[in-house]
Amino acid sequence: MIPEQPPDPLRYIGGSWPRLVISRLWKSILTLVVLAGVGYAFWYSQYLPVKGSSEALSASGLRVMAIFAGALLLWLTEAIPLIATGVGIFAALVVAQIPVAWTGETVAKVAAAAEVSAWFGDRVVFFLLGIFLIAGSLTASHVVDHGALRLLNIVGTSPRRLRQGVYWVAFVASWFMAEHAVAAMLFPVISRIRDALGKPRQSSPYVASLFLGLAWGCTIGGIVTYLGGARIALAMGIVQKAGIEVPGFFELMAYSLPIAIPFGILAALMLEWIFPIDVTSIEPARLALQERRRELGRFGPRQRIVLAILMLTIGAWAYFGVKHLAPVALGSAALLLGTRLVRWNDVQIHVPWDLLILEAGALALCSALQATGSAEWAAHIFVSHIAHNPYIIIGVITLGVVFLTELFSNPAVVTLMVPLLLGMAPALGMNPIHLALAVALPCGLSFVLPLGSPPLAIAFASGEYKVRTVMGWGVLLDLLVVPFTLLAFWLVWLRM
Amino acid sequence: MDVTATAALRLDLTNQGIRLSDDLLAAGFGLDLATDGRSGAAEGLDLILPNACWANVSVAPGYARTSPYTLISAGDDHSDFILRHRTAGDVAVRLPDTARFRHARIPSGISCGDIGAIHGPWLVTSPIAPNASLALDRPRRFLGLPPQRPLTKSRWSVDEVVACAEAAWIHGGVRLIHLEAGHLLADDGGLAELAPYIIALKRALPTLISVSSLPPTEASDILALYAAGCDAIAYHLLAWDAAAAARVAPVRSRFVSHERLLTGLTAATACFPRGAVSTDLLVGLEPLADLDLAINHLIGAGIVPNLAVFRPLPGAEDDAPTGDLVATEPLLALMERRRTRIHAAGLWHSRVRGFPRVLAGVDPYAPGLADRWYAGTRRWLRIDRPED
Repeated sequence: MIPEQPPDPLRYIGGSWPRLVISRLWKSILTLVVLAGVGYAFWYSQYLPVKGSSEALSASGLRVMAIFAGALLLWLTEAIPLIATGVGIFAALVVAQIPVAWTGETVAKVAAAAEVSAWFGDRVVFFLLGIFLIAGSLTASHVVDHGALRLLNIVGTSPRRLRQGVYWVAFVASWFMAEHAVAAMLFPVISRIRDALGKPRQSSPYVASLFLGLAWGCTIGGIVTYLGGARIALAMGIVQKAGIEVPGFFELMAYSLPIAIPFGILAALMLEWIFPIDVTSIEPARLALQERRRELGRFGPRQRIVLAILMLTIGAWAYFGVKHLAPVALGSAALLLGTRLVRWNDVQIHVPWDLLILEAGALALCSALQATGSAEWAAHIFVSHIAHNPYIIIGVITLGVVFLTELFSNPAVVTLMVPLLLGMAPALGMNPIHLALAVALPCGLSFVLPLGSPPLAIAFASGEYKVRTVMGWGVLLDLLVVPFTLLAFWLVWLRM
Repeated sequence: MDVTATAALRLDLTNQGIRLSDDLLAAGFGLDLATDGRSGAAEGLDLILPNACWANVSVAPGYARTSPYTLISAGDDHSDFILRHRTAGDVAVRLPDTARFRHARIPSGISCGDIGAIHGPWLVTSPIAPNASLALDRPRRFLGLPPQRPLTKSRWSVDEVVACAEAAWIHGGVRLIHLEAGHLLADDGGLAELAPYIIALKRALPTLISVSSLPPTEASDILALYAAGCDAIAYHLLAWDAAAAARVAPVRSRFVSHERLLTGLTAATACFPRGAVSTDLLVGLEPLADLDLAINHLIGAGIVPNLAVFRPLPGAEDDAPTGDLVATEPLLALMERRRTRIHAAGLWHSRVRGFPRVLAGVDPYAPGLADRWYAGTRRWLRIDRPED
């Protein structure tokens, strides 16, 4: 949930009519182009063989590839709402069954409508629902707020310690709560500290570093667990759908922490190098923190029970293994809601329903790609054009993902890359988990543009810094993601 | 004067006014229309000239005492009329039949005629009349101020104005709505108060709306007005020379400077469509040559200068016009030059034009579906709303 900001003023868009139409209607134009492209592919499929191979695409394969490409384009650009693309996939996959009537021929069936429905109702979708409900419950019950404020109060005894406290609290809190929820939760606290310090807007590097520290902490910490964001769960959902066993809660941390911890330390040091401390006393800031704690009230029995259920859930995930991720998550959510520890209305607003539908659509598409042999065909095309050195492959993937994630939505990048890489894994001779993680973990690590990640957008909304002020450092951090991922791959992943 | 040339006749009638024949005066005909200023519009008598050309003509005896035109009844039932020129002959004219609209009552029981007046395809209304104590300048319609009304109600509610507009749409064939408003003491000139009316009118009817008001001090208020649905805006300079304008509007000039008016007009051209920003210049306040230069300058800045005649308020028949009476022929030549320049500058394409109370607007224009579609599409594309 992004904190409330004053509404932006109306803006008049000048310029010539053609430019105006393109700038304002590009989403509609793109959507029409996508629809036209999919329609053309459907029509052209009559000229392809009914049964395909790894070297020749089948008629049904072309149709599914067209839906896949169209959906990706719409997801990447968000030309239409994510949820519209998600449910549109369902309709498109059903429409793909229609034979080419005017030639009298029929194409091979992609799947029956009932099967498409089953793809949408994959257990991964329910696992995600459980994850979102648990994260929403933690947000609604203010469990993490209490912990974060208490920690800040303990460590924030000097300007430097306060800054590092904000950063590391955001870092660790993002292991247990969606990173954007952590940023939204701490944003008002940092704003209150800013007001208490009495610095005019954009005049203090220290204040800017508090907001940027919040964003960086959330962004890096958000890659550690399944709870930090939807990206990893999305990627692992696609992996699981392909019949590959995915890492459990703690196993995932073993993959992610070798990147997150050293990278986190580096970013923390960079905060100290880049932004000088220009405040002498933080007593007003400490008073502001205490005021916020008073507003939240005490850490009562309700919060303690919610925390205990969270611990039990993590323990159950570790004990029962990856096959029971979804039942454990949903059971935990049922317990939290059924005992009225959290109210449904408070929780459901934190559930990103559009992402859930997006995931369902992505999984259905993956199934369709495999059922029609399209994934095999695409993998064959890609594999024959790239090098087979695993380090180069991981490096190229990471660099591409870091670039894409600055511009496009993270779930869309995951949905674009993971199914293709899974198809390529056998030909490349690589562990599909490694390929999926090489997408999912760097995908959240964007540090330049506010649209790159929700925490950056929230921090940027403070108006305390400009993009160009931090662009150089952001680009450096972006580029450093590649060697850190390669180091983790070399030193840890290959040995697991 | 060639009474068969409609444009010239319209100009001459508007310029010189018209006298009512004795039998019409005895019957009291038309005086209610001519003197009832409550709606802020009916400051003269509406006539339909040949070629369906509307003209709003003063019938105040003081103003029209030297007019060569007399309106006489052609029949006992006052259904047909003849306009008689002292030397040039007769021409048949009609009076618009807006009685059904004027007497129609909206759900709250108020007559539509109290809220607005129909002039051809236009409904003119003034929903807000704040700070009436400052209403010392006359006539107020030139000042961007709502008229004083001898009513207990200081403003019409949004629902009342919408109901009146719907009645005008159904009964009177109205396709354009002109709102007059103004607030001398408000920085935004009262535009914020007007926005709910515009939004509600646009929601209720596929109409185009023009506003005559005082310019706000912030350009963002002008953009907000356009975004709300206003299709054309007018801030009235009255005269190109600030001193001449101050003579006829001393109170307004103390609150709203000439520079603020010019700045407001310029700012409006930055967001409104070409030709949709206009100002009234009163004929007779300054030499025609100066007026000619002013027209040139304004058109160059993308502002449509409308020429209007300063007429006395209803009920003040004995007042002489404040400006000097200008002969019609040079005025006609000036109007022609103005028309040519407006065409050349591409300002003729406004979807909101033909307001019958100024000397311009001889074409019987009413916006069609394409005009409304263009206006709506342009607003949708040009305005970037935060919620988009």
